[in-house]
Parts: sequence; C-alpha cells; structure tokens
Amino acid sequence: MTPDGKKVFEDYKVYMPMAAGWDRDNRMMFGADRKTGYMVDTSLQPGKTVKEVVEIPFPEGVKKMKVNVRLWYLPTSPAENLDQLEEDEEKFLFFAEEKEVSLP
Amino acid sequence: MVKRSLWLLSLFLLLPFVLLPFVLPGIGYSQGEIKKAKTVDELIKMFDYSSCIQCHQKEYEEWSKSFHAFPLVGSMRTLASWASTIRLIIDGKTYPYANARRVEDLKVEHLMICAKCHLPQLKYAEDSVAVELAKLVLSAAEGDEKALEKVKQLNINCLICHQEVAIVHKWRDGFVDRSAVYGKTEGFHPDPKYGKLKKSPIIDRAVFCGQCHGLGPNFEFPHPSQCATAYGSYLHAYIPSGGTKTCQDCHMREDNLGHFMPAYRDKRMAKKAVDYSVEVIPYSYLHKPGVYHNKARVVVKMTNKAGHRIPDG
Repeated sequence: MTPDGKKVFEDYKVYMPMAAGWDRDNRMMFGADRKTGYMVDTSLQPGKTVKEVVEIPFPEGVKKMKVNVRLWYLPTSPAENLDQLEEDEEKFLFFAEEKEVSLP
Repeated sequence: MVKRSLWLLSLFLLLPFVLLPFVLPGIGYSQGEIKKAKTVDELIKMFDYSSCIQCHQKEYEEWSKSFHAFPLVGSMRTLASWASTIRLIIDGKTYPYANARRVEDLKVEHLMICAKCHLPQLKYAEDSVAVELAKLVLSAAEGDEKALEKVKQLNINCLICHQEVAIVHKWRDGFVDRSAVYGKTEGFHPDPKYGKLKKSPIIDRAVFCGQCHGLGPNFEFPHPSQCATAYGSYLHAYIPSGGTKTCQDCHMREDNLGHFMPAYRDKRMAKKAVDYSVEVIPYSYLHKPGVYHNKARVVVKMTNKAGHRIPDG
C-alpha cells in the first residue's frame, strides 16, 4: 500500500489439508462423506516453521510502502471474498503485522 | 413344613440369579443395555443432563458456548454438511448402493457416519429417529428456526463425555455403568439417577478426545467418513516432534478455558497457536546496466505451536 492508501499488490496463500473425493481422481472435495485420506497437505504442521518470501515491486515514483501481513482462519469461505467476510463470524484473525518499508 | 422348606429352597436358588446383575460387572445394566429411543424427543430425554447443571453451573456455562453444545449445527458449516450428506445419500446417483431413495428410507446406520462423533447417542435410537432427525436437519438448513432449535437440543453433553465415552478400554476397565458418572476420582455423587462417581483412567488424556477428533477415514463403516483428523496429527506429527502436552492441557487447563474448549474462535488460542515474524527489506535489483527494479522483500515465518496441524478439528 502506498502512503496515500492505494493498494498496489495483494497475494494470498492457503494452508490446509486437501482430501480427494473418495480418494480417487485427485480432485479435492469437502464433506465428511466424500473426504478419504489426504492427497496434499499444505497445513501448518506442529512444531514446524513455514517460511514465505514475497517480493513486491515498488510502483514507479513510489519510495515508501506499507506492507500488511495477516493470517486468517476461514472456516467456510474461500479467500477471494476476504474483504466481504464478517470478522469473528466468518473469518478469524490469527495475527496481523504492518511494516513500513522505504527506499534509501 | 415341607412346603415352607420348598419355598425357602426356591428362594435361595432364585436369589443368586436375581442378585447377579448387580454384583458381577460386565453383566446386565453394567454393560449399558439401553432401550432404544423411538423419537428425537425420547433420545433427548434419554441423555437429559439437566440435573447436572445445579451443581456444575460453571462447567455448564462454559460448555454451552462450545461447539459440543450444538454439534449438529457448529459454525453452521456443520449443519450444511449434514444436510448435504443426507441429500447425497438419497439422490440415488452419488451413493447408489446406500439403499435409500427418500428421507423415509434412511436408517441410523446412514447417519452414523457423521453421528459417530457428532451424536454418538444416536446408536441408541431406532430408525424412526434417523428419519425424524434427517427431516429436522434438512428443514433447519433451509432456515426453519423451530427445526434448528430442536436440532440444537441434540448435543455432546455431560452424559456423553462423562459416561458414554468415558471408558475406552472396556476389557481392562469394564463396561460403562449407567448408574455412574465418570471423572478423575471415585466416590459418592449426589444425584438421584447417577449416584456413583467412578474413575475414567483416560478422561484427561488425549486418547479420550481422540475417540472423536479423529485419525482419518472411519473404516468401520461400509462407507467411510472422514472429518476431524486432529488426533492423528497429534499422534503422528506433534508427538514425534517432541510434543508433550495433551488436548486437555491446551484446550481446557491453560487460560482456565475449562469446558468451553475453544479453538480458532478464541483469540487466546489463536495467539498461542502460531508464533510468527515478519521482516521486510527494500532493495534495488540491477536488471541490466543502468536499470534498477525496486522491490520490497517480505519474509514471513510461521511456527505452529499447537498439538496438531492447523487447520484441523
């Protein structure tokens, strides 16, 4: 985000175990009657550290930005709708950090 | 004289058979024989916990905020999942061998793939209850408030944890005594129906919660369901990583969470679940002679401090 509040970059990553429907076809499904085993697991594992690196380009002429990093728990909704979700009902904040970064 | 002698002899012969169920464990009532409920209201009444509230007010208030108090509804996602599963079972295409084409065809065994954990007491109900419950769930999922209130009355209450599932190793510790409630000690329990307090050796161990908070697919069913797998993650990831705490340590004892047993909804749990750091460094990348691309490099590190993967349940 630039000093005047303009959002210049946004990205997200999903951490969750993914079950294939009836453990076939490698197509992820929800629902206890469909999930069998896990085919991919990107969830945060106990005792393990996950490191994510994101490179955000400075827009032309911008020398200062604010970077917001948040970890949300979304029990039911996809991440695309994040801004429309009601906090503490549809999305739950695990942490939020804001850092200011300036070019010398 | 002979008649009286014969009568007394009969009495002595009968007495051992009359007394036996109350003396020898593992026979009769001690094995948990329960007459099955024919209606949802009967099932609710069978596991009526109202007498617990008078003495255990604090625990009741904590529990009433937990998802255990409305396990068929949960965050509303649970209710939607129940409704979806019921619709799929009877749609005739998804599960063609489920032998159900209408709600009226549903049996307890159909719902047990979810009720194993969400409503274990359903196993003490006749198929009529399965049909009634399915109708209530479908109505509640479509916005029927009255149906929702009824569904919310079916819950993982005191008598489920402190009786029904209190004994895991029945060959070692005996079968559940329906006249007792189970806790960490033994003794007298001032309740007209449950006058005994018996010890559950595992009520404060992770295996107790693991009965429902899952290992993976429930292969005991003809159609395995899979919901929560937190216990599996606890056993196969947390313990091998050197973890030493139990579910009860983090979700009950710490922060005096008690019978609320929260997870992601509680900020204290969220805070202790993940350690994190965010570092940002600006730099200029020399793309080619004289051309710089200015970037902010953001490094985020997250360490899961919970006893299981996040997310899980």
